[in-house]
Amino acid sequence: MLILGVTTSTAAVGVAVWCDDEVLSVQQVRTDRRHAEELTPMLAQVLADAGVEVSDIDRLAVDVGPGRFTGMRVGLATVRALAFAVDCPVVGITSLELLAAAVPERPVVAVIDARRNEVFQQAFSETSTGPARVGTPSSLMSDVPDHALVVGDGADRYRDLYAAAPGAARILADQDPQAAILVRLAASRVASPGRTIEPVYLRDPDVQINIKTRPNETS
Amino acid sequence: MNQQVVLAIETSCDETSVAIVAGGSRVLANVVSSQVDLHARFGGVVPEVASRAHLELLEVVLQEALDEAEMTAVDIDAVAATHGPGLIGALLVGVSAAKALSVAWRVPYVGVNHMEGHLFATFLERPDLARPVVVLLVSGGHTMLVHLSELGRYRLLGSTTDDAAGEAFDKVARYLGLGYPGGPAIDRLSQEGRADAIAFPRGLLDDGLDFSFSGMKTSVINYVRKHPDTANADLAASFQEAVVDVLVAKTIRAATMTKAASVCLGGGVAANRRLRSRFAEAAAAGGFDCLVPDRAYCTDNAAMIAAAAAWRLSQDGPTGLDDGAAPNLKLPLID
Ligand SMILES: [Zn+2]
Repeated sequence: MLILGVTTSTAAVGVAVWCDDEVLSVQQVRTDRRHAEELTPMLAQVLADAGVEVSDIDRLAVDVGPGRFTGMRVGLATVRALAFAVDCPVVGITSLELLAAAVPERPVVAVIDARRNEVFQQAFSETSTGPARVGTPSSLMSDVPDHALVVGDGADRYRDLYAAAPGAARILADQDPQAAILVRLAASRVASPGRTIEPVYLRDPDVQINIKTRPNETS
Repeated sequence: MNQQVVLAIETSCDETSVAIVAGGSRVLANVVSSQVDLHARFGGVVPEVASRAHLELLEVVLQEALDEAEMTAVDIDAVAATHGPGLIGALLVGVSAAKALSVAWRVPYVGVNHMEGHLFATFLERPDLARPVVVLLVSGGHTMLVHLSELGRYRLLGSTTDDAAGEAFDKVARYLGLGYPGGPAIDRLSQEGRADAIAFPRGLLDDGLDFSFSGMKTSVINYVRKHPDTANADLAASFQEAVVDVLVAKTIRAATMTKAASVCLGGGVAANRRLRSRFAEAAAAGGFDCLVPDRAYCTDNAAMIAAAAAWRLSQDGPTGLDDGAAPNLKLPLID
């Protein structure tokens, strides 16, 4: 089975092609706000490196966030358009799960910078998976199990806070969701039609309502 | 122009649109899904809400366009998307999807300037429109008088020094409690009011080709403070008349000064009924050939993007796959 996977929910952009039991080709770079600029050429290059065409793809995989809204949407719009074009199903996997799957240690806590002094956070232990939540690191600290490994760009950013967690967490710096892991996990998941793969925002849009109206107007 | 088939995506603001156009002007499909209801309760377009909705709507609109054109992927020769100006998050949904389709379908990608799209909207109906043309582009974000001697050669004759005309409509409508979007609300209510009820100032009417609408908006607010019993319909009709007076007078002045052969209207505000009729009357009186495009081609739509894309592709070739979005992209102008 040929799988193409795309991750764009953090500062990283990654693309990987998986065939049968191995990663055929993969690229992953860190960008800041250039997800759209990086992704499509990378996609074409990774496909070329693997010697496959879009029409050969059996299944697509995408990192559905949480993370940077604009970055996530670049990946989702790309993957959904590819799924539309080749009429193949899609597997969506969260960025937090991708971070956790990259390390063997349990418990592990995946933390993604959500800006505005908040993080997206989820704990994974041997036997259970906690809820994915958004909040300030201190407000979510009770979700961090003792002696957990804490991974992700949120762990980098709030290193001191997490290091001081009860039970002394260990920090693994410089981790992004990996495209190579995405395609590996996607191989054993249930795939669905592309348009049913929803982004995981975890946070409502910022809405400023600022309507000044004519006084005493009833119409 | 050959009969090349372009599929274009427009997601720069709050309309999700996909069109299929052959030969640069034959519209085979032009599907527009408006998010207006989604934004109405906020009194304006909320960028993050718009971006989320574009992602939700895109495949459905894409499929509808292909169905309407009775086409499949093999019929498409190029894929285009608006890459600016507009809301960055919204633009990137269309750009990303269009680039992915171009890779999947192995056809060129073309990134299109939204304002150039509005100019090309005029040629969808009258590819033969006599040149030079003076185009009045009026929308929520722009008020420009553009002189076009040939395709791709645009000269800016005038623009707004403060609010765009559509923005002024929105602000006045909001103040009068007419809801959002303001343009259609004022257009509707004006039918019931007297255009000569209140003599609002005509900003910069006798002064050059630039526009100023901010003072006109303020004068409505000041008038209501002094005369709180004035009917909304009279306020709307009188304000609309003042704006239309300025827009029409400056267009005719610009066309006369530049010895243009024709005048043309574009942009979302060009859907305004009073502007459309006054514009056509004034053009006829001035002896100019005139095009007031179908309202579907005035408001944001992907057909105009496809038309501009076909021409850009023939001039500049495909856009690179490393193309992104430019929220403040300017119309390429000559002096
Ligand atoms: Zn527009």
